[in-house]
Amino acid sequence: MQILTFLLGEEKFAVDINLVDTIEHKMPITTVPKCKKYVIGLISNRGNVIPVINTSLILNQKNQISDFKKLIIISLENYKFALAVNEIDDVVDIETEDIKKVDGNETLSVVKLNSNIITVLTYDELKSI
Amino acid sequence: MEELLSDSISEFSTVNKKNLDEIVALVEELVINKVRIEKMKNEFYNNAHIKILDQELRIISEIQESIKKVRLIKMKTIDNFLKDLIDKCTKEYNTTANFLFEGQETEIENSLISYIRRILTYFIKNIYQNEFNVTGSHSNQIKVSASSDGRNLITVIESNGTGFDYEGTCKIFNRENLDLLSFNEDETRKFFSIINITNNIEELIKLKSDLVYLDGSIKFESKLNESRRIIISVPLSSSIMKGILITVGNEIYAIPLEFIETIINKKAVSIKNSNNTEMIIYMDKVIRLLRLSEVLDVQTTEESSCILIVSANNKRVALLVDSLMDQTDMVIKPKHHIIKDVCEFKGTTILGDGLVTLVLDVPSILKKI
Repeated sequence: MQILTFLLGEEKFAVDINLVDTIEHKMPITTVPKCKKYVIGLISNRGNVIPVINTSLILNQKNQISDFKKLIIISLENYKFALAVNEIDDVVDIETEDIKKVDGNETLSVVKLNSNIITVLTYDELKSI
Repeated sequence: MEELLSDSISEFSTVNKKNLDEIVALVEELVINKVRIEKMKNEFYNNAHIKILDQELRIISEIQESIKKVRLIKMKTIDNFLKDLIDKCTKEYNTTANFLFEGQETEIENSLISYIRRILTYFIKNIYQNEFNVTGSHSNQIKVSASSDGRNLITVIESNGTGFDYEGTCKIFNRENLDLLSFNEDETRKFFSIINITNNIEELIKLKSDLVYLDGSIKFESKLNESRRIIISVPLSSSIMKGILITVGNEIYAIPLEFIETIINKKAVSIKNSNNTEMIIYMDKVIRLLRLSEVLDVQTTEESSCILIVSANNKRVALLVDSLMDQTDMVIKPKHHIIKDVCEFKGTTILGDGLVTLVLDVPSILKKI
């Protein structure tokens, strides 16, 4: 399988590429009052209205990032949303078995890449958004 | 049953529903572009250009109006279907019932009639299975009545029979009323078992989730050992409607025109304060004033200049906003599930500049105060 790696601040993360619809540049975002904290706002993408998610917040990063430059549009069964990230990094081939759950934190999936461990957002993590 | 269905529709149209839906989707796109053209028009100085754009705009408006009418069909199209269903049930369950169908002239959007028909089928079958059999009463009655309050089509199925303990059931679920759409899946199953709905549960759950998307409601009422009422409410309005664009702080919001009674300049009235509530006196009426910036929790820096008097469900309130921008046609898209819990908004629309604009849910804002 392939994963798309992206940067949030200094840290690298990844997402299952099968879930990625498109990658867009940052565009004007309409903020939604009173909505969940991790929703930055709404954008229109090919006639669809889709919410933009503060990726830094859902990944519980200590230093919250706000200077997002790219939007990764994620498409799950019947709805879409955008993950706001700083920069797109690379597309990497990995074996599906390489994605491991972390003992002690079953909600986290990680993969070992060039002696680094990076968190991978898989279907299970994204569908709960 | 399928035969009956095609018979009843042929009187009204021979258009393939799929084709019609495609046309409607195209018209929705046209309407989005119409708003853009209107913006562009102001940038042209050449009269010939303006003239042709004006013509295009007029044609789009007319198409929009006619497509609205094409999609409407009368409730009487399902009259034969219902009679047939009653006949079948009467034979199957070996019991008789008086059947009444009122409000057949009520109009509803074509795409919704199949929902209504399916819901009626499941509930009417259930009435035969569980309501009539137990009592053995000889004066069984089923009454289906359709009516419209301008915004929703309300279909009521009334029957006599065993019913259920309404207050008790409300208490079990800790609700003020029994709206099926406010239940989650587990609650729905539990509710069905309490009120004795045992068949077609999966289909009903599927229908329920579709209705949530359409913003409808299915309410149950009952008097134990007397009667049961199921009130199904589905919005009539087409997704294309007119709205007023207003600004609050840096944000632009749309308010559907149907909720707006009047727009007044703030200078024309004086804002009074009593008991921590702001109000205005307009045309001899005292109307509560709400600052939209406070309702939505939005920062506003500008001096608010405009008051919109809005009303819904017999409630009226004055909304203070920063300024008015424009009147526009909009195609309302339902809320994404991630922002579903923000009840102040009905949905979103994409305006001429390609930006997403939130559409205020006036009834819901009024309900909260």
